[in-house]
Amino acid sequence: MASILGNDNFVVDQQSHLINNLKQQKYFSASYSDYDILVAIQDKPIGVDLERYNKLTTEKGSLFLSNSERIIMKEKFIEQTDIQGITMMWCFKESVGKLFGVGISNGINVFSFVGLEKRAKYVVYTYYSFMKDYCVAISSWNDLE
Amino acid sequence: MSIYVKLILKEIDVYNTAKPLFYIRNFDNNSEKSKAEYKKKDVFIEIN
Repeated sequence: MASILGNDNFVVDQQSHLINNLKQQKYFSASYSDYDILVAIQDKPIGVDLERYNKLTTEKGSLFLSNSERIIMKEKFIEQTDIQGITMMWCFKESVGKLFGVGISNGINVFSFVGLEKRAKYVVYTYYSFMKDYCVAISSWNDLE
Repeated sequence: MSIYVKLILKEIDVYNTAKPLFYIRNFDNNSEKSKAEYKKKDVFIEIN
């Protein structure tokens, strides 16, 4: 993180939050899997996740995905394998969970993705990419583009 | 109480976008890696 923040002496103030002696604030999120590391820093809260495809099986996926999430996965990731789709759904949950400050460690069903909802009051932007050995997801309250 | 959040999904091309959302950098020397140079080791992703 120091390479982004330069010599502004940022320190970790609380979970996912950095502050320096000028009271400038940054938010960060990090994830790793084996030797692969993902770090994101910006001025607003952010949540990221990186998962290797060998972490989950289709059997485990059926345990943590709800029916509506399985439908979303099948519709969204028709070009990907089941393992890639399941792993990406896990990534989505982890990155959104980190953004919300809940995390899957509090239970994989602490929140769930449903189909089209008209009642949504908030918007979350989730950027994702399928890499060769792993996938990444980055969730933010603001549009990063 | 349930909170409903709209999730806007955007797939990003890590390597080929004209204005990339993030870069993959070498963790040690901070130099940007090309797709050819990219292996799988220490990855540092910076969001603009």
